[in-house]
Amino acid sequence: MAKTKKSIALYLLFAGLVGLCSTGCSSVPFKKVQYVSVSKVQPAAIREQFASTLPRKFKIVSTIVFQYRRHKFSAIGYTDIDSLQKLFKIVCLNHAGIKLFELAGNDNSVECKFAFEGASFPGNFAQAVADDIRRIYFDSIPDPEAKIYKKKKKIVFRQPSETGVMEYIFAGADNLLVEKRYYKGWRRIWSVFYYEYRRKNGKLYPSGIMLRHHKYNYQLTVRLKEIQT
Amino acid sequence: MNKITIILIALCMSLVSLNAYTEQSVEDVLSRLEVKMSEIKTLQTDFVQEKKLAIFDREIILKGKIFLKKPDLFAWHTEEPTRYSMVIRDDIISQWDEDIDQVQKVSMKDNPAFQTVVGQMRKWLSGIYMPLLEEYNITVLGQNPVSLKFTPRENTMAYNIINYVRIVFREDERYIHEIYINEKTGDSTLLRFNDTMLNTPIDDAAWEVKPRG
Repeated sequence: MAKTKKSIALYLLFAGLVGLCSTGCSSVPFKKVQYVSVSKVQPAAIREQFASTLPRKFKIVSTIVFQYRRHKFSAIGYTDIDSLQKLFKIVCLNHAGIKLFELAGNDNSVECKFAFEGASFPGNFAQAVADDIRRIYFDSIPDPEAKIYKKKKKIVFRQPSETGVMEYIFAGADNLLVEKRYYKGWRRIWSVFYYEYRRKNGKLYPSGIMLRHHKYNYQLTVRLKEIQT
Repeated sequence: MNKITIILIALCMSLVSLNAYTEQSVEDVLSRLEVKMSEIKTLQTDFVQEKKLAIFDREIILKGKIFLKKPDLFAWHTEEPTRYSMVIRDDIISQWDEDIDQVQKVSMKDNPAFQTVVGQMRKWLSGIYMPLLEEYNITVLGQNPVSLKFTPRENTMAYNIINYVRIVFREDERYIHEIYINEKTGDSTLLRFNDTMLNTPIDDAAWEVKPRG
């Protein structure tokens, strides 16, 4: 409950900082996945194929919209990811080019390098952002030991993760990762959806990403603008 | 008194007078610029903002337009890498961006963080720099075109953030050509103004935050 309040405080702070408050909606602004039959697909091959096309180190420019209930704010994000070493850096600017914050972290910790003066960021602000970056960009390939459930139009890999269970859903014409889901018990805690993969230098980058935190009822929409290789 | 002594005294005197002239000239330059800037009633200009972040190799480029109409209208429209509009009328800030696609309004009075952002933008874009003498050491780097360097004084808020700010004016000194901000974090921002038009009528669409075509 305390964490929920902190999350609310965090995002209300952002709404205040960036000055965007409005009525929200939760439509998907990306092309929906065209599900096709996976009857002839070998799940292990799908996993290997996806792993080989996933970039391990990359820098991207994207826009990020955060939505919590009726509040929305947007920013431009510059993100540097090393998914193998589990390192990240992120700088967020407002649309006029003013730096809002800069964070650097790894799988376990995060350091706030800069936070816009005049904005009183709540104590867990850096942690909340870092958690979302890890959910989106880290651990995108299921373990070889993951249990496989082959359904009519999708393949689900299921494995234990932290104190819960992680599901990876592969689907579509190219059988790519379209969703990651994290459960605690029977309750779905959060989901990340990946849309419209784009290829650059033989690697695949999702043009659209949506993170839905079901427990805290917020949503992040990330639109890829540029890949810097 | 030998010749060398006379030359040394003359040299010392000229250095003293040169120093006095320099100090005088900073104030003179600021006053002269203020007079010229005060003649501006409307401004419309393209801008290119080049941001160098210490943690990234490549520069980040933002492009767009700025409009100003005295006494109380200001508009900032970013066109790249995303489309965004901000219009300030009195105390009210209206914003739109292509991702959220809704016009949103906020009062600056209720939003101190936004007040700081807008305050910083106005400070450097105004060209009225005499009041900044308390906060910054100002030096004249060049006269043709006029180029000023602002170094924050110790014990000011800016001292912890900024190494220096350099501003280059247009040759006619009627407006700024570029602003360069060098920050303590290793980041820097260069804001260049192109196709600047002064005291020409501004289309009403400039003050709208809805998509501009």
